[in-house]
Amino acid sequence: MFNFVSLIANKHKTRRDQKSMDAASPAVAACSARPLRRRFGRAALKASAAGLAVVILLAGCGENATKSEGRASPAASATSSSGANEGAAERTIAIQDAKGSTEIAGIPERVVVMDYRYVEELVALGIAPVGIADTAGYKKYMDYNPALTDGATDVGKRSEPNLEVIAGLQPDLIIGNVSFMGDNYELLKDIAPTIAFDPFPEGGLNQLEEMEATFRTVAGIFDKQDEAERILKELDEHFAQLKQTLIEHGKDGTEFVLGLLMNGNGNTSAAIKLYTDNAQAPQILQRLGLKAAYRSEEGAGDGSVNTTVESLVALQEADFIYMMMQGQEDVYEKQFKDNSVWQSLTFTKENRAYRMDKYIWMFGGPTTAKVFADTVVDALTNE
Amino acid sequence: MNKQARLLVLGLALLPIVVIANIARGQADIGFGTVLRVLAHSRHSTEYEVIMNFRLPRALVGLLAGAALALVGALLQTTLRNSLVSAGTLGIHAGAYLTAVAATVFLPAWVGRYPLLLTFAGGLLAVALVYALAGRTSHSPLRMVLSGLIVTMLLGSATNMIQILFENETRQLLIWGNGSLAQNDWTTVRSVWAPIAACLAAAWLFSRHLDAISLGEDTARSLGQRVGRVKLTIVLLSVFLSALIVSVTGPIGFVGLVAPHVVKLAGFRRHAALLPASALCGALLLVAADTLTYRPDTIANQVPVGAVMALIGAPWLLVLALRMARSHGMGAGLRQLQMSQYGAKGRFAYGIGAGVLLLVLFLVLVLGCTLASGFALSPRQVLLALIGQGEPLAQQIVLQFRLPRMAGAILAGAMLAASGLLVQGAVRNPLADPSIVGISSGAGAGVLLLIVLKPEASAWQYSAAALIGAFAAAAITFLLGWRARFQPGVLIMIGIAVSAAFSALIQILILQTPYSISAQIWMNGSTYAMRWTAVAVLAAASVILLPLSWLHGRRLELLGFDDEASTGLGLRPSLARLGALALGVALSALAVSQVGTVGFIGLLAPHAAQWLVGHSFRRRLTLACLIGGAMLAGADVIGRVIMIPNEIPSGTVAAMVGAPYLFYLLWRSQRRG
Repeated sequence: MFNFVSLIANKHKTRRDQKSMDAASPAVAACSARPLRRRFGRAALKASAAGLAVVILLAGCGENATKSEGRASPAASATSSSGANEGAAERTIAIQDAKGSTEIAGIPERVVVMDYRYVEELVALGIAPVGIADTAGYKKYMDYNPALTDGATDVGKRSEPNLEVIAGLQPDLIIGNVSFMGDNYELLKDIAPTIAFDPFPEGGLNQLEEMEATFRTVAGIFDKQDEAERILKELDEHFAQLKQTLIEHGKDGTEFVLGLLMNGNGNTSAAIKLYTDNAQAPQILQRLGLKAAYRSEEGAGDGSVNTTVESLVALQEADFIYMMMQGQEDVYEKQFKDNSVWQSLTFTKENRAYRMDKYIWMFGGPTTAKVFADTVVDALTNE
Repeated sequence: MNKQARLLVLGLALLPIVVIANIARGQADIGFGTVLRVLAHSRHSTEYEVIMNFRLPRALVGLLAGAALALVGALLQTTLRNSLVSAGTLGIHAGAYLTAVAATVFLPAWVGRYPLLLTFAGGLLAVALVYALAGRTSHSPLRMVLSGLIVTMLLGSATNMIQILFENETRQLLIWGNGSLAQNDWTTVRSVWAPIAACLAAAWLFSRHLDAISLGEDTARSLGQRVGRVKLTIVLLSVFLSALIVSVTGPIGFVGLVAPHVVKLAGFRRHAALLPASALCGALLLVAADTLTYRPDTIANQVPVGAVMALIGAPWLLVLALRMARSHGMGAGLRQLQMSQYGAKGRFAYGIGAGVLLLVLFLVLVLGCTLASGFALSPRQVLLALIGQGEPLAQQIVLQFRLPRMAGAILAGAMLAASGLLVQGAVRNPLADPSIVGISSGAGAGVLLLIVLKPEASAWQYSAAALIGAFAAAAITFLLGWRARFQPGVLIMIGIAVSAAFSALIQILILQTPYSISAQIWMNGSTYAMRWTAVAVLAAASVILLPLSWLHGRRLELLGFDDEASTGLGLRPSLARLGALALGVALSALAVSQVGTVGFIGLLAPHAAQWLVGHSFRRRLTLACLIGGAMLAGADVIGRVIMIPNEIPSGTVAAMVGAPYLFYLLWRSQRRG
């Protein structure tokens, strides 16, 4: 108590006096009686802070120098590599994507692809990318031509790619999905010309038309339009054949609902992902002559809606086509088969619930579309 | 008694009404009228199946889970003599969730067969940790709650880590993490109603013991109670019951907080009536909340019931906090803790400590620029790049990818550490973290709101939204705290409530975003792809705010006393607290706006600094900044090089690395204090 009182009484003492007061007061840390060490500490601090500042300053200068040089390098490599296609004049085309318009000079040779679908499209055109995002995911869902993709480097997650790896590959083109890219777009643009497509456009094209349009665009970048047209034409012919098969089996014009059975919360409830009529997969089935029963504005995001088995009550007159994810094939047995709601649905009772024998990535390119259509028709005609 | 009997009857009468309201809402178009018609007539239609085998089990699970959670809340609140504890705030939910996730990855067979065992083990782990942190429970109630928060944060980070490393295996548990009552059939109801009823009965048998304990431990002992044994039994029972519920529905918070308080407000005191009343109230509450989760316009999945409960519970918590403002005793008992915690002088001389830390920082910086995190560069190439020479690729990698991340991490870490020190000084509580004033949740809610409104926002717009959100949350906390004259204890409570409310908002918003990937990345707290513009913001903030904090230092040391002494020393405590908080919030909000919600550094660095150099605020500030910077930068480097080409967010690494050290420090401080 004595200390407090004296402190208050001597508030206006000189600095020296105050210091000794402070030393006696427990409130302030016992300032050490080692001024030498303290000064050394302070000097060390100042020196290091200055050093840090210098480093950052230099880096700032260095950065400005890099910016112009960094962009020079991919263009430089493009010019040198297009020396091989000497016959074709170095053309520059403007590609429209979700971010506006991007100019691509020459025909890119080193491509980094940031989403599964565009890998598939490149592979379909016979182009081998140098970098793929989430290679494990790609191989799980659509490993169509390993020869072309085995040599590619994994560049990390689709949404958080490793920028160093990508830069190290020295690509001259980066293609991706704008939803996953987010604002990495700017960073990727600094490394190489980047194209970001939006596979889930709002209004306007449905997703299947979008896929075909984008496929043509991608082909255009590599001067392979003819190849793309050929592939799409073959796809259409294949669809026509499948349509005929369905007619022969009396399935022409039937209404359908397409769903993915999932493990819901932990293990206590089953969830279903339904695909709306403008999503790619139902659109494919409509080309085969079937009719989508679930029409909705929802799931504007990627055309799918997470829901439960209750929502099938309103759709139970249609055929139900379903699949399950890899590793979750027991969902049907465990959650649906003995579920009394499921059993009471019209399509279950009339044996019109068709199971696809494998999981198909719902947002793929032309090859996946073909596999999907085949799988569905198989399911519809073999049961 | 009469009034209470009437209330109980009323509650029982409400039960069937609430249940019917719940089963009349769902994704199939089966409303109230349809329910009645179907029950009366068509017994074998699809609608009948939906009602009887889908919705009714759900409602019943809601009743059982609500009753159990409320009971656990009432039990814990009495046993630990703390009106702020519940299964959620004590970390039991976090522990149960962690073990469930870990088992899904490492012991998948067990998850199907022994889910209860796993959640029980997790709950026990959490409680053990909370006890270790909080020490003697009859100390301040606040310490227990804060320990619970820290343990929740820690276990949450561990869960996060597992979810990042094993993305595919754990994806299905993400929704479950927010709690859901959805059922497929009667299996769950059949398997849990008996254990729950048994626990309810067992707890009820302890009513007399609990009444005695609520008089105070010493009183209870003098009445012949074996207090220790009773407490242990009750706590174990509570953990078991919570674990049971979590294994069935996932973690649902706030029921155990709100229901017992409602019941106590209604006048129930003796546990023979209090316990059943709490259970009843909890049951009604949860089913009502579940009814609110249905969105009538869509078949898409509804909001998780945990989020609705949070929205209900958070304002309640605020009201509770404000009421506590009138009763004394929230801040008492902490003064001694703070002052004698590590000894006045600390272990090392200041100069040596600062010098060593600077060296460490420099080393981390060097490592960060040199170690390969995707593309290997030789030290010579790195050096050339740093001075602006060398190949363009090396320059790009070092100067555009690595260096800004390091610089940003150092600055953000320093800012977070300083913020932690300021907040801890202001609320006079060594367990406070800047996130308790709602900054992290506010920032997250801001970012999500932006993503929902404008999906393709740019980086600086994210930062701006985060800043606005953080300040909004802090402002609410301040406004409410001002009414309570900024008493530290109350401030913490208000901050927790505000934080919870914004977290609920986050849970709801995250379902609205078509692709919540950007949001999730951001919320993890990471220095991924930090740009020089972000570094500039951080640098500007540091240059302005850190010296201000330095200047404020003297006053903060005086705040270490309680208010009377400080006033006597010429300080105006509320203003000083306000100033410190304002600085702390500004520092933290700006840091969070650039790196996302990074926890732990604001908690750990001040402690480490105090352990090193003792009391002086200014010394602690300097050292804390250095430690914080080194921590986050180091976490960034580790996160980058461990899993090329993927990376672990630096916030998660910091939490995992920092937590054991934090526990060690706090445990040691307890042994002394």
